[in-house]
Amino acid sequence: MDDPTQRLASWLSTERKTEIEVIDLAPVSAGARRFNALFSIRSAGGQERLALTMIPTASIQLLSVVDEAAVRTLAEHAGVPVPHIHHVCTDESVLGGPFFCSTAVDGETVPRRVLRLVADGDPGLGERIVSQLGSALARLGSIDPVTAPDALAPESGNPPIAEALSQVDTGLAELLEPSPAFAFCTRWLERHAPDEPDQVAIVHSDVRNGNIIVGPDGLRAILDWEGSRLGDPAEDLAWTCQRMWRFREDHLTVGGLGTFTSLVDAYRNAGGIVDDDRVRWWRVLTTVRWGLGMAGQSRAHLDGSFPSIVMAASARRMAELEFDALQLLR
Amino acid sequence: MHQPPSAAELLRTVAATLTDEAVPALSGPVQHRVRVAANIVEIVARECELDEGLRERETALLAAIAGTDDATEVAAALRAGAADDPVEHDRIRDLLLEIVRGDLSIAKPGYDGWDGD
Repeated sequence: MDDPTQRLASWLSTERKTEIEVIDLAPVSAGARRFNALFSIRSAGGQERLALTMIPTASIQLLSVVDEAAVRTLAEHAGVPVPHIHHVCTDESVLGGPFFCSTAVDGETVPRRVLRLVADGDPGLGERIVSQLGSALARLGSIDPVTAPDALAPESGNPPIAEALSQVDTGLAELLEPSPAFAFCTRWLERHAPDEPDQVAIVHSDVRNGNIIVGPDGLRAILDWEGSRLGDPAEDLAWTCQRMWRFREDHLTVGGLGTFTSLVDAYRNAGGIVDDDRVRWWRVLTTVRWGLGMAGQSRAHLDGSFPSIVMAASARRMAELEFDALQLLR
Repeated sequence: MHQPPSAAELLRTVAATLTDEAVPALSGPVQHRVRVAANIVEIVARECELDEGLRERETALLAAIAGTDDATEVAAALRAGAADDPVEHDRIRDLLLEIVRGDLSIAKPGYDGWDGD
């Protein structure tokens, strides 16, 4: 029973109360924090294709698999395209970490392949995907936050705008070398901070080209809900517009796929309320925060808490975010 | 005095070896890390050649922002509101962009070819 395939099959057999065989278990990506694989199960009932997401015990878990599954299920019921979760396992002895199994959704996820599919597909495909993202985010924002798992509330208890400003303030203070560019941007953020949102909503926090599955028909699923939390829904709209997610297709604001207008029109048509100035503020905020996060990654390399060549290289990317943030302040 | 190749030329040779020979022979996470390594070596090669000139220019740009070439003091002045006035905002933003363009010429040449949305 040392084979993970066998252990998974045995666990699923108990879950489904029928003999299950696991076949073709193949890793699809191994990120810093999670292990993703695709596999098929065979039983008397037939064959099914599933996706496995496992969080190695040693790694930093943003949300527990139970809470992540709960958020994804809430989103699914609200009409957001997400792969349906079939099983959640918190017993770390099965695979070496908590995991869940969801429906395997066919399509492209790697950003450059997504862009190629759009370039080769029908002319309206990119804008359609962006519109679908807009509708999906409006539906996510329509979920009653009271139904969200408690773990989604920020530990500080701060409302979203204050929390975001506080994170940037901390990130600036922790820099090993000063950043006049980010000091300038932070002052602007403080002076132009919008009012706290009337009501918080579930924010995915990483909706972008790279965390979506698309096919020739359009958006099929939004992935990677581990960073979900309660916040200002305008943040998700802003994050999709980061220049980093355009992969050199700089003229198409949303993921190199389509325009901001398509995103916001669809968001409004699906019942969402959005203020362009608020989204712009979040674009600057998330750009600065990400740049400060890059510097933080390199500090984690330097202080030995996370030695990695990738983390070491991150700080040299901060200039990209300084540039983008300054360009947003024209 | 070293005989050529220079430090930057040697680093470019290292980067080319990593990119042209090591990367194709590898796969998975190790391949990714070696790509990152090649990129770092290219950054450091550019830094060897450009850094001195850029730091001189940065000193002048910082002084034009807030009257001191100490980056910590400039950052503190900006945080305290030295660019709150709309005219100052535009002037200082453009000077900061020039500083960042310098850093990008080392870290990611070509990234500054975007004027915002």
